[in-house]
Parts: sequence; structure tokens; C-alpha cells
Amino acid sequence: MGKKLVVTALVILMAVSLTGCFDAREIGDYAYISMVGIDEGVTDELRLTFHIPEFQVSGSGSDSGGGGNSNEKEKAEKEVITLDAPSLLSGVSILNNSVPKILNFMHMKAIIISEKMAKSGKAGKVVTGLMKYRQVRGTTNIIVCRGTAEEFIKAFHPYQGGLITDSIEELVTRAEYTGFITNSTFMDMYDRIKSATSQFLAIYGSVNDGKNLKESRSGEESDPESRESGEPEEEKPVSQNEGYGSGDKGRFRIPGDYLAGETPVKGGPDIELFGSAVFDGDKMVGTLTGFETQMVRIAIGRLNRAAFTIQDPLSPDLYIPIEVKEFGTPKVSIDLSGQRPMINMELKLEGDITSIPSRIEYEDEEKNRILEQAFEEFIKTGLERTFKKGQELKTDVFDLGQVAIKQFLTIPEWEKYKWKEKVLDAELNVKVDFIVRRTGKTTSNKPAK
Amino acid sequence: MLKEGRFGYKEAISLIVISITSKVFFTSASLVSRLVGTAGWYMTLVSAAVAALFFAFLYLLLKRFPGKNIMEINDIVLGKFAGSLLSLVLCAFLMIIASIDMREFTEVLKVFVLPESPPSFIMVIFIISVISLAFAGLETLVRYSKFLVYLLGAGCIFVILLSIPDFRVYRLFPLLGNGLGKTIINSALRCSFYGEAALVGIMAASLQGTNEIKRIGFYSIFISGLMTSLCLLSFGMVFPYSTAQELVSPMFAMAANVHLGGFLQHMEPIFVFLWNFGSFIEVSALFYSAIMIYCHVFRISDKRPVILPMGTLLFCLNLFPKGIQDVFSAYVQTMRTWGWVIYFLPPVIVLIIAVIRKKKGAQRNG
Repeated sequence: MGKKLVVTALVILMAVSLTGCFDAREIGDYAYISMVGIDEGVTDELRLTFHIPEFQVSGSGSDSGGGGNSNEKEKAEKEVITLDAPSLLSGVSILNNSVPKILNFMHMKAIIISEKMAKSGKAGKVVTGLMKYRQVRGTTNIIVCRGTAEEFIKAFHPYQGGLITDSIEELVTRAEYTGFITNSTFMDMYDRIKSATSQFLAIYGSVNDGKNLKESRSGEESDPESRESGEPEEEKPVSQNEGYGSGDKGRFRIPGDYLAGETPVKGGPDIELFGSAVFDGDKMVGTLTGFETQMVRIAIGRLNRAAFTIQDPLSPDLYIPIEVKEFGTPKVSIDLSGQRPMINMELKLEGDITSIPSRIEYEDEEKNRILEQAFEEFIKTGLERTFKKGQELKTDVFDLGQVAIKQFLTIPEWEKYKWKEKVLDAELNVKVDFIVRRTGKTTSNKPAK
Repeated sequence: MLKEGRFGYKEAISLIVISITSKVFFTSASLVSRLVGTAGWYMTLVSAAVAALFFAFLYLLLKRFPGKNIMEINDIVLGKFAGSLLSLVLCAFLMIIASIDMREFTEVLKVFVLPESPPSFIMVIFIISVISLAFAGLETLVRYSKFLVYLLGAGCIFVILLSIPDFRVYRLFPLLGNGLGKTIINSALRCSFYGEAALVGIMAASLQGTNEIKRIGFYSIFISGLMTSLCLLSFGMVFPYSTAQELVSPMFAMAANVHLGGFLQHMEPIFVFLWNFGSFIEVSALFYSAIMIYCHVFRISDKRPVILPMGTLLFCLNLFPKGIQDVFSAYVQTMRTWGWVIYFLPPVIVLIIAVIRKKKGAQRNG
């Protein structure tokens, strides 16, 4: 009888004391932060911007976490909170005095760092410091933005009224099919800025106000004001692409050879992700355009599928769009025996022609080979250009250290070799093997009569 | 009165394997990375081989005294006083190990899962569970281990499989890590990681003869070695050596990084499950072994009155480390490096003395 009593008492005690614990919280107790922006502070070390989407009960008439309702602007203002604080944790503490919920980073999708902060090296220190913060997940995306992170977050709205967390995730995932941005996560950043093997490339983002979409070509009269003043229209500086097109330099630009904020786009979402921010250690040292980022992805074997447009080799005024994907991983070998590392890279690509505006019959075997060679040369030039740019930025953008490290037996030997310095003098030899697999819905392309 | 009962080799292997491998889920993995860099995954196999060599001595000793456990053998070979003293040292050591492992579990749980719960709250709940299992006896403990070993194994493999997209083979290079010399020295010292194999000696009387003991010991070390190596290999391919040595629990971080589309994310709860049950079995095994030794030395036939005081002692020992840094860099590091001195060395010495003094147990028929 006594034993039964003790057991019953124990069961009741355990039922009361163990059904919850000090950390037990209901989902409604939290405010989930979807993005954090880090800028240089004015009244304190950091200016932090938190995006805390308002989640509503589904079926309440508006989409949760998104816009779509009449007071969207007011709601967006409420969702974005900016403050100055010495650290993220202090910022959270300050914010917890006005937000009556526990701020939670478990579902944070992106950390936005302003370019200024990234270049100063402070961002690297702040962001890697977050590694100790248990709620921040390694899979959180890292975006370096032009201008301020605050502006970027304010301009970031869910597309077509969906969830903002979905919008961020999908925007990054879609890049798998364009190659214009890299996969850059918080864990990547942490790993790479401390690594003697690889350097970090972050997603580069910006607010695009649509002003890059010109109404007329450079040199042509565009707007009444410039006509009246008689002054030539100032060419807006764009990324360092040369463009191509016979006798008309820059007529066709290499697709994607832009940085975020430079693309000639008007309308749609206010922000865009395009290109990469290149880091040396914890400091941003430059940028790669979307096209150069595609080259990086090709070189490291992470280009799922991407559209390229090349100059028509037999009709240089025209272009040919080709959808390309890699087959087989790139073969990279590095000879470290000499003074300079000699890098040999062999790539295998395949593609489908999606259009031939010149109507030249590239389906023909001989002409097909001409097109393949033109594309091989295009990629080779792109890779060499990107590699050289990486060297100018004093970085190994192609992650070649990951190949070189295999030739060393011990970590001290590898670190003593100082790959990051050696790669700056390295010579790259690229061999591209491209095969046209399919030519779209037609098998021949007769000229117009 | 509690009886140890008899159980088969599968149950015993389950207990030993869980007790050994659950340590890899905590700070040990990053400690290994700090010591030998990228060589951790094969260093542990060498450690397992060294542990197996030491176990061979324990087996020879147990074979020399069939049907006796290590405490009885100590008494026979060294005399009651010296034998009891040696057994008490082992008892104290097991209690310390149990308390460190438990504190490590508490600290890591607090870092990742229960940041607001006071450590004592976590410890009390944990100790209540350990004490309850101790009251149920050794047979229940090993049978429970056998039930759990499949779940824990499947959970561990599942986490590793989900992490495959994050694997980068280059992260295993340079293959020799911080140097072959360091790897060999550390692999020899860290045979202590497999020290729980020595528990076979304590529970020898409950096992089915010396052939079973041999099978249990070597299989346990072999399976634990493979599992530990697999875990270290996996996290070695997920994190570069520079990061791996900084993480509190690389295996947890690996599970937290799983991101397979929109559906398979946030997989770390699986890992928390592995943690909880693995640590629970490990601490219970060590705790119960300590009770067995204590009761043998002081000739206490009923273990039940000892369980609660020993549980209280375990709780108190838990409070010694100041914090996770203390646990990680002082206690765990010391025990994993020098634990073999208590786990494996005494049986070797006792065997030598037994041979010299020509002490031998009665041979059983059949």
C-alpha cells in the first residue's frame, strides 16, 4: 500500500513538474526575425535593422507576413525596426522593451551587411561573432548590399503577397538556375574567413530604382532636357564589361554582366540580388558581376543550368542564346613544383540552342562545330577574365586552394606554403569542351527568301 | 535485494557501444580536431586498436579467473586491502567520469536547447532517471540499451545521410592533419575514449563465460570505433579543420545545417534525442558500475540503500566544474587523455602480479 502511495505521489509530482520546463514557450510568445541588417552606427557602434514580419491567421483576408492590404506601407514601417546599439544582443535587449514578444532568430533567412561595413572589416567581426549565438542558423544567407542595409530591408517586400521568408529563400534558390549569385551562408562565411584554403563570396544585393532602364541608346537623343541643353547624355557607369557586337562596342552586353543595382530593369520588386561581394579574410575587397559569378560557379562545378548569349560567330551583328549546363565535375590539376602554381582546368559543358536570329543553319555539323568553338572561347575568356580579376583583388575566387591542399601532407606544411599569396602569381590554362546537344523544336534553319 | 541477473552478449555490447559512442556527440569531436586536425577520423581507429590491445590483457585476466569479476580478482591477487583500495580507485574514477559526462551533457543541452533552465534543474531530472534505472538493476539497464541501440544507430546514420550534400572531401586534407607524430601519440593516449570497454570486467559475473567476454569486449570496441570514425569522418567533411575545433558540438551543428529544400530543415531535434538517450545510458552504466564496486568492497549485498546516497554524490560532483570551458578544456581533456591509466592499466598490473604470484582461479568444467 505504502509503495503504491509513493509511486502515485511520484507520478503526480513528475506530471506537475516535468510537463513543462523553464524554456517552455508557446509559438505566439515569439516575434520571428526574418532579416537583420547591419550598418555602421551613428550614435553607437552598429545600426541594426530588424525585419519582423507580422504573421496573421490564414484566411483572415490578407496574406500572412506579406503585403496586399490597403495599409501596406504602414504595416511595412511597423515590420522594420532600426536602432543603434553596441552589439546585436544589446540591440535585442533594447528592442525587447518596445516589442512585447521574445525576439527569435531561429527562422532568420538573411543577414544584410552594408557594403561600407563589409569593406571596413567590421561586419566580418560582427557576423562571425554571431556564431556563438545559438539561435542563428548556419544556413542563414549573407547578403552584402549597396547603400545601407536599412534601405535594403525597407525595400524588400514579399513578391505577390507571399511570405517574406519564402521570398528570400526562393530568390536565393532561383539563382541555382541563373548562376548570377553564389550560395553564401552564414556557416560558409564563418568557415571561409578563417580558412587558409578558401575565400568568401557573399551575395551582392541592391535596391534597384529602375533608373538604369534608359529610354534611348547612348548618343541618341533621349529626353527633352538633354536635347535642349545640347550636352551629351552622361553614360551611367556600369560594370567593366566590354559587350560585343560588330562595330558597335557595347551593343550587346554579355548577359548578366552587371552588379546588383545596375541591371536595366524597371518595375517588379524593388530589390535585386546580382553578382558577388568578394572577401579577403573578413574584409570585402571587391565585387564580381553576375556573369563573373557564373564563371565562378562553372569553375567550381556548381552551375546547374544557365542561359548564355554569345555573339553569332558567322554573323557578328547578331547573337545566339544557349542554355548551358555542366556535365561532369571540372577537372582541375595544379602543378606546385615551380615558382608559380600552374593551374590546368578542364570543363565539360553541354547546351541547347534556344534561338538563331541569323537563321544560319547551325544544325549542320560543320557550322555546329564553329558555334561550339565560339562558345568554348567565350567561356574560356570569361573564366580567364574572372580569375585575373580575382588575382587583382588578391583572392582565389575559384576555390583552387581546395585542390592545392590535397598535395600537402600536414596542416603546418599547407599553412606555411601560404596559398593565398601564391595564387596571385598563378597561371591558369583553361580547356573547355562544349557540345550542342539539342537545337530546340526545329532540326534545320533555312534562310528567308 | 537487487540481483545483477544474466544477459547475453548483444545486450552487453549495446551497453558498451552506447556508452562509448555517445561521447562523440559532445565536445570530444572538436577536441580531437584541435589535437590532430584532419586526422581525427582514423586517429580514433588507432585509439580503438590500442584499447583492444589493453582489453586483451583484461580478457586474459578474466580468463585466468573464470566466473569472477575484476573486484574479486583484485582481492584474490592483491589481497583484500590492496584489492579493495584498487577497486575503490576505480569506483571513484567511474563516479568522476559519470559526473563529467553528465555535466558535459547538461552544459551542451543548456547551450543549444534549454538556455533558460538552471543547470541544477536539468541535472536533477537526469539524476532521477539514472537512479530509477539503477533501482531496476543491471539486467534492465542492458536490456534497455539493446532496445535503444538500434534507434540511436538509425538516428545517427540518418543525420549523417542528411548531411551528405554538405560533404566536401577536400576538407579531409591534408591527410596527416597536424603531423603523423602527433596523431600517433594522441591516438595512443586517447584510447581512454574506449575505456568503457573495461566495464565488462565489472559485470563479468553476469556474462556467459570468458568466450562471451572476449566477444563482447572486442566487438564493442570494433563497433564503437567504426561508429566514432564515421561520425568524425562526416563532420570532418562538413566543417573545415579551422571551424571544427571551435564548435561545442560539431555533430549537433551538422544536424542543424541540414537544409534539403523547404521541407527537410531544422533536423537537430533528432540529434537531441540521440544526446538524451545516449548520455542517459552512458551515465547510468558508469553509475551502476560504481555502485557495484562500492557494494563489493564494503560487502553490501543489497545495493538499493546505496543508490540514493551515490546519486546525491553524483549530483554534488556535477557542481565542481565552473562552466563549459572548465568541463571542456580541463576535465574532459584530462579524462580522455589519461583515463586509460585507471581504465586499462590496473588489469595489466594485476595480470602480471597474478602470473608472478601464480594466482589462478578454479577452472570450470565445460
